[in-house]
Amino acid sequence: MAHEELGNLLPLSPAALHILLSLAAEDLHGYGIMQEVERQSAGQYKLGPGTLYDNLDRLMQSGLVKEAHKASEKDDPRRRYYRLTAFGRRVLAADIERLKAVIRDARRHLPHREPSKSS
Amino acid sequence: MMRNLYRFLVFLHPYAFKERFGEEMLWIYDESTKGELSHLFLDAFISLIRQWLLRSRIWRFGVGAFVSALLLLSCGYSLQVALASAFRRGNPGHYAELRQRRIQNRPVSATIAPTYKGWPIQPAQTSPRITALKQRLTSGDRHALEQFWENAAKIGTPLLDPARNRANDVVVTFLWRGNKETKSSGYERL
Repeated sequence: MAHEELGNLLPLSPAALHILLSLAAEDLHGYGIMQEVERQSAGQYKLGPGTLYDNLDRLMQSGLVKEAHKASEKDDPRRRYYRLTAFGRRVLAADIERLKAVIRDARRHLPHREPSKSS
Repeated sequence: MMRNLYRFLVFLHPYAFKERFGEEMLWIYDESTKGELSHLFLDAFISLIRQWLLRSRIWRFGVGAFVSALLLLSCGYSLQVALASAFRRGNPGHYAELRQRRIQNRPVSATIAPTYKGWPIQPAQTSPRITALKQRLTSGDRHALEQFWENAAKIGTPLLDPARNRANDVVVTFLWRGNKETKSSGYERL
């Protein structure tokens, strides 16, 4: 599949960003991605299976993610693993750079405040 | 029960999506805790709408059908107009016939008016007998007309009635009785 232009894929949607980020370290199955996304966002962002697979489908069509081989033959046959492609990694890195620039701008224009802790 | 309901929601997704991800969605359902079920159902419902409306491109069929219907209607209308125009061009007598029919169906005043100055003639006064006849007919008296003609036959025509407020004048009413085949009537001033 021909890869789309990197610029056309940016900025990534929050769901796509979290999915790519969760796959950056290792191959994961759908449920593993959901748990990793929940962990990354400290429970603030929960992906449902419908949203997850809709995004995975589009990421696979864009060549950012591909299906990986099963970790072991003993795995549940319904369980499929997904892997970040080299192109997906470049897109993720580019979006992270974009977010860094946003944060730099935000720090410059907004007074720095520590997030209030609930007692 | 709840699992079957979730399976049904997955089953309702477009074929390509449920074929690719349906089993995985069910597997995630099996792995989830009871506390997560409401989130899963809401997500499946939203996914159902999203897949059908946005991803399956079924809306393109809807738009296509609507545009096709519009095109068909406009083509039909254009064809009808074109045929009517061709028919008129191919039948020069058509207009003349239509004009003649219109003239025949026009009321008397409309037919004669253009040729006589001052038409229609408005009587200065209406015969009180005609006024009484109109009132009886309006009130539904079925025998009024026959009695009027019988009376007219007895006294003879034209009807002569004294004019109101004019001692030296009379109202003269000429009568003419039509039949079922009579479509219009008129008279000429000589």
